[in-house]
This record gives sequence, structure tokens and C-alpha cells, in this order.
Amino acid sequence: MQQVQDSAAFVELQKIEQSLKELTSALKPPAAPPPPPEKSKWLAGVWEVLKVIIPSLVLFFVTYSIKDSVDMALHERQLQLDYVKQMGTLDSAMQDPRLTPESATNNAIQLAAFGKYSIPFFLHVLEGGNQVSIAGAMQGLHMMSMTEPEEVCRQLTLVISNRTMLYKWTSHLAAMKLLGEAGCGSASSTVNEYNNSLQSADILKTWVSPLPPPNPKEYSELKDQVAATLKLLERASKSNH
Amino acid sequence: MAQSTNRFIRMTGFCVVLLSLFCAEPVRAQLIACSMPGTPEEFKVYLDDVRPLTKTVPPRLRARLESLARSLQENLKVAVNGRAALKLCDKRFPLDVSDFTAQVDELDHMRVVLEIWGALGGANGDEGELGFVLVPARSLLNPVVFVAKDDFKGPMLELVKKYIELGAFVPVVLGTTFYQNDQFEDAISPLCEGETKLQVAIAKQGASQTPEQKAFVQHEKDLLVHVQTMVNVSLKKLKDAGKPQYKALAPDSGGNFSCPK
Repeated sequence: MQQVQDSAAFVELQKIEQSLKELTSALKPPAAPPPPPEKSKWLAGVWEVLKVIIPSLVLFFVTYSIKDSVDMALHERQLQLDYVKQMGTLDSAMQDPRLTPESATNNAIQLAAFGKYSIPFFLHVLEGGNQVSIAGAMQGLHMMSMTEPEEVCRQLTLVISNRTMLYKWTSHLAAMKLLGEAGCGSASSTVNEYNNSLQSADILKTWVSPLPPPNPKEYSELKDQVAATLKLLERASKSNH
Repeated sequence: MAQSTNRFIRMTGFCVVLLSLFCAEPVRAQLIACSMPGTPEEFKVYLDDVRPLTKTVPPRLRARLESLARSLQENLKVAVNGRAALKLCDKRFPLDVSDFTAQVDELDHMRVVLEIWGALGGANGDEGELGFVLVPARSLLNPVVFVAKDDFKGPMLELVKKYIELGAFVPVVLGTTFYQNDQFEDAISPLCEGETKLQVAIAKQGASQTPEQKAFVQHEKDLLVHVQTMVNVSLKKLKDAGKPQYKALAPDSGGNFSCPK
């Protein structure tokens, strides 16, 4: 009886052992893939190196470009300051009451050689100069409109857009004349708006410096100039298409 | 690429402009700004230097130059009579009438109505020249510069007094300025005064001899036509406006109004 029990237990144990074997074989990982070829190994190595280098390189280039633009800005600012110093002498010469038309032209040529930085100086002379220096400033702006038309057009448009009595009516007139002669297409809408808004000498008085207040004759002259400028801009626009 | 081409074209253009300006024949103008610019609002009459027409200035010529400068100043004070500010412009003098071409617009914007200069030549200073720039007339006449060359023998003050243009041009430019500012009532009196004096000046010339004098008289006649037109328009506007003192005014057979006699 004892022997029967032992053999039954033995069979049972064998079953359990068999089940455990099956379970163990099911849990075993799949067979390892074949070893990678030599090239893939090399690429993986490069990738590992790049993963380390790329962030450093990005950081380097970002820093470099920031430094470069800051350097450029500083350099430009320094250049501007140098120009201002040199142009200051010429600007004083333009304000000299004994200035001859010949000297005014020469000074204007020298000022124009400073490029866009000379434009505010010419506008300053238009505002406060005498009959000789104003003629010189007009020549200077004329020259600038040939070399840096976009910048001249932009700054002259700012003059005619001003409604806070910053400029004399004569500066509006000069700016309007030059905008037409330079064919400033970018100013077309501003000139149109100016034409539509400027309906009387009284309106003009609220836009421009009160010294001197523009009289009806001066208002008419400005209005005629606006019409002439519009015609020139229209012609320039047609020739561009 | 296109941007750099544009920049190249611009720079080349700028260099061409610079070269052309430097290589251009130098302008001889010595029309420096007036040493007494005045206030921006007032109407101004500029009296420039009186200069010799020759390089050498003998004592007699120098004395007559000083005399002409004084006489012009005294006569102009009377002619202007407080209606504008007389400004003495030291060392301002045109070397050529074309010098004014570049400045006449600016003079108008500065409310300069008249500019006068004088010059004398000859060993005795008896070859005279008087120049007038009628600034507000720039929209009516071209050129607006009148140069009268004459015999200047005799006492200077008397000669200048006889120069009717000196008295005629002041009211003409003032009347023109009022007219251009739609101040028709203010314009009538100086325009009529100018018209009368201009007629006298033209009649005085008689049968002019030199082509220069003939051209000068013709220029005055053209100005007179413009003055008469301004008088006609001003009176018509005043009558149409119903001003009582102009109600009785009747036009001539051609339908034009003229200065009351």
C-alpha cells in the first residue's frame, strides 16, 4: 500500500517537474539576434559622439552669432558717433551767415558722403537755415535721394506725416517737393492722405510750426506742390510697372 | 546678388554725381545770406551792398559809391514808409543776375518782397546800375530781376530821387503780396500807386536807345499789364462782395475795372 502511494507521488512529482520545465522554457528570452555587422557598429559610435558634440556646437554658434550682432551694433554705434563728430563741423559751417552758395554746395557734398546719417542734418538745416544753406541742404537731399532713396523717402515721409507742429511749413514744402522728384512710391498713400486732409490754411496752421504761421499764398503754394508731387508719383508708378 | 548689384549701381551713381559736382565750373556767386535777416513774419526789403563795377576804385568813385549807398537807403526808407522792414545786407551782392535764380523761392518763403543793389563804374563813378528783384512777382514774370543801367552824372541824391522805379517797385510788390493773400481791399491802394508810378517811369524812358534799355522798358510794360490785371480782379471781387464803397464802381467798355482817377 505504501509502495502504491509512493509511485503515485512520484508520478505527480514528475508532472510538476515537466510543467516547471515548460514554464521555464516559455519564460526564456528569444534567441539573441545575430551580431551586427561592422559598419553599423561604426555608425553607432559616430552617433554617440555626435550626441555629445551637437549641443556644444549649437551653443557655440548661437553664442557666436549673438556676440557678432552685438559687436556689429556696437561698431555701428561707434561709427555713428564718429560721423556725428565729423558732421558737426560741417553742420556748423552750413549755419555760417557768411556762407557762399559755392561753399554750401561743397559742404552738402561732404555731408552727403556720410550716407543716411547726414539726412537729419539736412533736415535740421531746412528748419533753421538761411536762404543759402537751405539751398545747399536741398542739394544734399537731392544727392542722397540718388544713393539711398529708401532711407530718404522714409525720413521725408516722416516730415510730412508730422502733425504736432514740429516742422515749419517750408520743411513740409521741401519734403513734398523731394518726395516727388525722388519718385518715392512708398510715400504715395501718405501724400494722398495729406492731399485729402489739407483743406484750408487754418488746417495747415495746426500741423506746422507757428513761426511763421503760413498765410493763404503759402498754403496755396504747398497745395500746388502736393498736386505736383502726386502727379510725379503716379508717373513713377506707371514707369515701374 | 541682385542686392549687391543694386548697391554697386548706387555707389557708381553717387561717385558720378560727386565727380560731376567737383568738376563743374565753379559758381562765382557771392550772394551770402542777409546780415539782418529779420523776423519770420514781417515783410522785408533787402538793400544789398553798393559795389564798384571795376577792380580798381579811384577816390572819386569810392566817394560816389558811398553817396549812392546813403541815397538809396534814404529813398527806400521813404518809399517803404513802414509798410515793410528795410534790412541792410552787408557784403551781400550778386555777381550775376542769375545768382538769384537759386534763391528767389527761399526769399519769397522768408517774406522778402524786394531786393535792391547798386553798382557804379567809370573813373568818375558816373556809369550806374540799379538792380531790383521783385520777389512776389515770381509767379507772374520771368525773370523777376530788373537791372537798369544809366548815366549817373550829377548829384547822387537828386539822381536817385529821379529814379521813379525805386518808388514804383515797393508798392507794386506790396500790392502783389496782399493780392496773393486774398487781401483785395489792402491790395488796391499800393497796386494803384505802383501802376501810376510805373506809367511815369515808362513814359520817362521815351525812345530808348540801347537794346538793354529797350528790354528793361518792355519788362516794365509786362509788369504793368500784370498790375492792371490784379487791380481789375481785386475791384471786381470787392464789388461782388457787396462792399458799399465799391458799389458805384463801373467797368470800362471792355468790362474791366481800373484804378479810380
